[in-house]
Amino acid sequence: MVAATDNLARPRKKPSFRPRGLSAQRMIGAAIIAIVVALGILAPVLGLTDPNESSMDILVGPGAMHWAGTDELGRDVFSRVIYGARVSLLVGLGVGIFATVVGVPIGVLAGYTRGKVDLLIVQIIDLFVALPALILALLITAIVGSTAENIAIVLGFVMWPTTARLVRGQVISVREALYVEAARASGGSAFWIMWRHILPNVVRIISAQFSITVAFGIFSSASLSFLGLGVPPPTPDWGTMVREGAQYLSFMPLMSIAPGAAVTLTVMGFYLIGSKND
Amino acid sequence: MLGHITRRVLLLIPNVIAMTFLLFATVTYFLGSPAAAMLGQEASREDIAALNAQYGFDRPVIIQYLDWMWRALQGDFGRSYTSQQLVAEALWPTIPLTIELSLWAMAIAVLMTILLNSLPFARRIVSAITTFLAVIGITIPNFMLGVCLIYVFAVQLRWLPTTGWVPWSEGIGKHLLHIILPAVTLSANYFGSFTLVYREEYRAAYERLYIKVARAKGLSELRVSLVHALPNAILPVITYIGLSLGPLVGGAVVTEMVFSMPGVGRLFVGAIGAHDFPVMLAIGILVIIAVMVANLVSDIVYASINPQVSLG
Amino acid sequence: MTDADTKIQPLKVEGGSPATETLLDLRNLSVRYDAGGYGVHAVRDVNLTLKRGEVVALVGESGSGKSTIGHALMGLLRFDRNVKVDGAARLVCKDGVTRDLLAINDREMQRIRGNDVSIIFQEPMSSLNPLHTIGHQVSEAILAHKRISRREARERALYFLRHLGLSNPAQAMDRHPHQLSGGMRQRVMIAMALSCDANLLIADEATTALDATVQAQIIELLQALQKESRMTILFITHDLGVVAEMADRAVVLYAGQIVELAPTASLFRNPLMPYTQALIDAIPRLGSSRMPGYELRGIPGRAPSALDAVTGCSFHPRCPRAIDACKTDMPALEAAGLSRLVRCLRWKELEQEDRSERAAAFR
Repeated sequence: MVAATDNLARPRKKPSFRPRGLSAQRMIGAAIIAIVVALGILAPVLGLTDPNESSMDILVGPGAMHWAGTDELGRDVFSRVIYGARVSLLVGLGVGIFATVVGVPIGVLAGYTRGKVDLLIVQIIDLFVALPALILALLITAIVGSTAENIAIVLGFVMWPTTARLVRGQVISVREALYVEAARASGGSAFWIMWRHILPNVVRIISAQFSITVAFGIFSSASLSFLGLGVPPPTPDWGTMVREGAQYLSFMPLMSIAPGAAVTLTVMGFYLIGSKND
Repeated sequence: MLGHITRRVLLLIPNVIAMTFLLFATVTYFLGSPAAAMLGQEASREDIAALNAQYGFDRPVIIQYLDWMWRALQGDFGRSYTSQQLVAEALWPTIPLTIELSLWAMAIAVLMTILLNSLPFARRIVSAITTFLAVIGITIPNFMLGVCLIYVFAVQLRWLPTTGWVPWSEGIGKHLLHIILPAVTLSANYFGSFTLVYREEYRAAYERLYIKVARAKGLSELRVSLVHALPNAILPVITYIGLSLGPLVGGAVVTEMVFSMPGVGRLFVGAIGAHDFPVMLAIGILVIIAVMVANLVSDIVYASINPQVSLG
Repeated sequence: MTDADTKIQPLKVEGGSPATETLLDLRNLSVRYDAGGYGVHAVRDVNLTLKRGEVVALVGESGSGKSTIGHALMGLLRFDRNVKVDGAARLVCKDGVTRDLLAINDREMQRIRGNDVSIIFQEPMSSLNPLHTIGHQVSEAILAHKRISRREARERALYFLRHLGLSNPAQAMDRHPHQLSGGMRQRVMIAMALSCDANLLIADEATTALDATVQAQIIELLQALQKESRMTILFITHDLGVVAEMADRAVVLYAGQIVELAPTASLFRNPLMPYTQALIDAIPRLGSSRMPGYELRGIPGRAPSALDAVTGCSFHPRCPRAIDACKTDMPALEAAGLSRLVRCLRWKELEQEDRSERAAAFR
């Protein structure tokens, strides 16, 4: 109970804020990505068994020699999973780069010019957004052939509208702010200030979307491989590995589950960094 | 309202035509004539030319497109290159399965989303678990989830069959058993994304004044949650469902492959692998049309539920 | 020209039987928010008695805690885990039982909300659920407390809508909130609040968001309803004009505490606490710009946020009549004449000063 004469002289502190951008979620995502990328890059020097070398030890379970066992050709699963990271990361990054490189300028163009050009671009974007991405990707891959580069380009082509739309939205709101500011402030200084404040924000959003696009790229290219339409063998690729391992699920589940878990973790890493949840 | 619908449908047509033509042209241009594939390696140039003329592959793309569309409207999609079967015949029986799978998956995703996110009890724990499940749902690829589920439920526990499909005619029980795992697999991704959207909306709804007013009227928390918060939170999800229909088709393709289900997806993948042009084309175009129509339908559903949106 | 002449003369509607029975008795009400380990007092030690049939205004700036008191009485603070409410709020309910609103369990509180106490809020725009019809929402309020059929509830709803002056109530029943104007929506709100014949109506800034003409209509409406049903209204507002029009008594809040309490007429004629004086002086009046020597005096400084440290009188940083003692000694609430309370160290001497000043001005 508070008495009337209660002297609440102690100064109250305002609640402290954690520095932005360092949420637990982001850190987990960053950690995962760091590990995967490191493994992918360092794969050749880690002293792993050659991932393509077949041996006589077919379908052996996990043990000291082969940490995750061997597949139906006697190849070491663990090393194949690690090497598989290279292709997946390359394709994923390719998708991200393509989508960003194409999407950002188009988005800027649409947002900046408005009018007819904008209308046209928005129509195109809306068209793409609703369409089944995988179907398109499958069709186009069937036509142009499935190599790592092609897959990256095709998937990037499917994703650029999303990036473009995001960028366009940002550009539009920047424009509104600029006009308002310019109306009030005096001359060039207003633009410079807004540029310095708005640009970091836009960059942050673009990089978040980049991350999500990479996640999508890895996800989809693995799906394509699983369907048998991805990167051709013998390059170790996670999706293909899951597919081949599915036949031996009853007695060598690790053949499918190991690469599948790798895909999931990697996708999760990129997703966690890029998405804004609580 | 009817006028508005008609207007939307009319607007849809040029979009559909544009998209399908684009697809047709691309496929036709790049795959060129399949005559070489059909006749084999040693075919002479004259033979190829003759086959082209016979099939009409030497005509301008637009003519080919119109011709194809005309025939398609009558139900004739040509013949498969590999099986020589009428495409329509091969396609027809696969459609119900894919549609049913998709519907189950959507239903599961929506129901689970609402169930897990609307109850005003045990908020903290349920919320943490649900977030975890949602993230997993979004990031795990269909095929991985499918494989895992098969391993756990079919191989280890032997509760459910591994793969395959049993039509309704052979028994509802068996049919349902076979469809559980694929439906759950397909639904996971959407459960994830719907949950994230719905939760945001639900939280936002709770901060609105009308919730306070509802409580002030003396309504029970349960009623406040179900009658006032839930309907407002669900609306954006409906739009989201519409947007998810595109990716859903892609997911269905993979799921059908994982579980060896004789649906449109499996047919499509086979056609792609074999460069079976007519089948690819037919399915591709049908899917595009279906998705666009489904989007339109979901827009209309949204407009009819939300009284604030005036139609036309 | 003296201050007394330019003070607002209250225009109160006469009527309603003399208030005698006690309806609500607030004792030592305190509300504390726990924000990050530190406690913050929104309301401190408020004592108030409301009688049947009277209209009491709770006046203050934002942050004074007035809305919080309203929410506490409705039990709406229970939904926030960080809020701690102390004290007692004894309400005489319709069934004759006196209950402490702050001590009863959630289920009982739910039964009382809307039935014995009702509240209307500031924002008519967002007070109604956009997805349900007006008829549905008003009937819902009725069905929450009365065991009647759905059809009967609808008829009752219709009756209330008509009684509240909605033109074409039957049509309104089937409309959605966005199809009505702000004034109509506020009437719907009031209808919902009154539909179960609550004895106590809390109006939380109910007219603030409305434009002037609508505001006047709603005030008239509330006065008429009050006269007719003898219900008690607790009018929470920062608008002294409304206070002058509607209230029998006024309670002035500052930084979560009552600083002055008086019948409206006395309050305006002779405010004792410097804060109240400043509030009254700050009211702009039509034609005042043409009066020679008249300045619109605002109150310097800002209203204290609940986070600020408090020593002595909470008003002292902004008080034009503060002395050193005000910085250290917290004044208690003292009786100051006929049903009046003041919380000020210097009120007696200030009253003397002002009186002699006025007398001097006449010579």
